Amino acid sequence: MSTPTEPNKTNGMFQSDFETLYLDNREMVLQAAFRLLGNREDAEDALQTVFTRLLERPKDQQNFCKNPSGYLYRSAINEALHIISFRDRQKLTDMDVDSLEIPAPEADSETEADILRVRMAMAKLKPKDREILHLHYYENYTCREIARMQRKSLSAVLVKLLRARTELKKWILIQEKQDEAKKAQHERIDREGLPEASEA
Amino acid sequence: MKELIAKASPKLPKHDVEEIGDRVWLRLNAEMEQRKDELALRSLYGDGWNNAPALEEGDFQILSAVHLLAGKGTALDILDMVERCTGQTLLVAPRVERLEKEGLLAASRTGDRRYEVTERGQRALGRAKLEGKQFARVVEGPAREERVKEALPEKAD
Repeated sequence: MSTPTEPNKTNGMFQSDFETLYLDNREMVLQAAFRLLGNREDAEDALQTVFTRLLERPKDQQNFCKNPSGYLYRSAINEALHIISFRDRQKLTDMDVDSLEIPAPEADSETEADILRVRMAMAKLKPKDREILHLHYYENYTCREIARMQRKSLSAVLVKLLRARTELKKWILIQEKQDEAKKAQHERIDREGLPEASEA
Repeated sequence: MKELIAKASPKLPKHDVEEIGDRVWLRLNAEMEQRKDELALRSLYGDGWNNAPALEEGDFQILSAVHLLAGKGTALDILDMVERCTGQTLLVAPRVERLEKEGLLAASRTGDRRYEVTERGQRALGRAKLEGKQFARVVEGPAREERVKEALPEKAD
């Protein structure tokens, strides 16, 4: 997440403050939404909605003023989750997993396979599990910070993180087994040739 | 775990962020243009308002009455207007004096003291309107009921 924008303590010109806030935070909001949605168009919708809501009067102005960037980040996540549940995007995300734009890793093919497995496993996770893993392992937030951000107790966050990790490992193992099964099948085909088509 | 998650995280390329960001900004700008009167009263920070103080009900009624009288109303006219529009009787003089001190009303210096709403007062009225306050709602209610009664067909015996 980018550096939080320093809240302007005085009342000022709305439009210029809004523009500054937008330019400082648009990338953070867009990337946060994209990580969950895995889809450019939906992430654009989320960005639009988050900032359009700011044009309407925020219900919790005090919270916004305390930490504008944190507020926007939470709004982006909530909006992404809303889009997912509303449009049933989970299915599509699973299908679109190959189209996710991830820079090609420069590591060896074994590492590439590992990354692909994690990608597939991440796509299988519930969005909230995916998010907590991102926050902790990708954004480097401590559990205490996540608890503050999500307004949850520290123990609740610890339990959630543990469950998300367990879930991720479970899916990685499933992916590994599937990969092994595929590999074995390919080897068998290589060894024995394609099975002949059965007669009707 | 950390490294794998980082590598497996989808990320939009910089040029896509720029492109999408610019496109959304154009739409937000159009939205701001439509709402420019409202946004002139608003602030992104602080209490959310830009030099538009909150009005309590009585003050709102007085300012609305002064606004309707268009700078020609004395304290008596204001009292009369409030009574006619809301059905309520207010102690006008002390309120008017306070609103004048707060810079929401200004009085003419010659002859009768006739009041007008200052720019700050107009902003306060604008805020009250956005907050959903209505000046004539007390008299509108019964009047609306009368209209509804008139519009309804008579009950069949």
